[in-house]
Amino acid sequence: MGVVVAAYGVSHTAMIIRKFRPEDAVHRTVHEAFAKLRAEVASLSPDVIVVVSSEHLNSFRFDCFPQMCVGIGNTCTGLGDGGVAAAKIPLASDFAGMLLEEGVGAGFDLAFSVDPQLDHAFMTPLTLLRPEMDLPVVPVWQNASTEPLPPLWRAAQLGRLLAAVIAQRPKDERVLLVGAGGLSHWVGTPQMGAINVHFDTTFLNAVRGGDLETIVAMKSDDIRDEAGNGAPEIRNWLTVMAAHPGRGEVLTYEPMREWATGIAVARLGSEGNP
Amino acid sequence: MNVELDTLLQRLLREAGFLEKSRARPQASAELAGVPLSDLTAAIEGDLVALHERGGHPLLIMQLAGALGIDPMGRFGAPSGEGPTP
Repeated sequence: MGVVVAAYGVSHTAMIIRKFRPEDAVHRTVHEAFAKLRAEVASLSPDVIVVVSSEHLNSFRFDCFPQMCVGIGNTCTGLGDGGVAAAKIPLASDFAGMLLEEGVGAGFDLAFSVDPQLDHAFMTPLTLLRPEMDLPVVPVWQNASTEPLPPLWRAAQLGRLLAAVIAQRPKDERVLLVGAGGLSHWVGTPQMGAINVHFDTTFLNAVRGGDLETIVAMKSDDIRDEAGNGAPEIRNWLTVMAAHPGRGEVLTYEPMREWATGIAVARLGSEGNP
Repeated sequence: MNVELDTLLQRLLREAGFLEKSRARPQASAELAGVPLSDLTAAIEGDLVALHERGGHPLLIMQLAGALGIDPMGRFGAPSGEGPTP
């Protein structure tokens, strides 16, 4: 049986890296939170990092656009978009293959992408949490941008599938889970730069309480209308919360208008975290 | 969703030489892409507001802004770092 050594929820905008100004105290606060988790990852020495994030029409096109997809094969290629450095990263092929097979076997129609390309949705958190890019990764995409979107309960089911797969993994395999995206933000629209602090606060209170039900009850349309067309990415946090339930701990939240996003860094299910 | 416009944006972003060709011969490129000339013009001029109003995918609009070196927040009218908070 594998073990979840830690689970995190983080924003993934490339602006965290591209627009970082060390002289800005708020910028530093965000980066210090990431640094805390980066040190934690180094000390935990996970064998696998599962990153649940979103597609931005960089990895896939309209000729075939998955609602949920798992990367398989041997290598991930970071595209180098948005000012985040390109990189080659090992892919945890055995874990990824099991996730795909177990998922499909359980009636979970996952798509797959062989030796996938990753944009900043994955590369921003990986750069900030493990810049060495030496730990094998399993990328998992969820559609959060292109309607129709799956209901949030499906994101929670994906998390439970992840937990079931981890339970079948070899003894003591150490798994780090990362849910990346959100919080409130408007992307590529005239509202870009707006942030809904009330929405973000409500969501993060649910994270703190480990309150899956509140998040699952949200409707994608309502999330989009209240918190922007980028906010449905909170489903990636939900998946990880469902995989590793329990109260969360928010290390930082900043409504970063110049990064066009409510930025948060959190431990999810932190009762089981270090 | 405006599939024709999104397809145009993807061609401009991914097809080598298509942006330059569209600038040189916009009418021919619009016909080739099956979109109104006004869509093509909005795209090559980086008129993000027009593209949004015509139903362009927000993420493709963002990618186009990046390719053209446009600050999307500035172009949409929200001064960088000064967006409203609902």
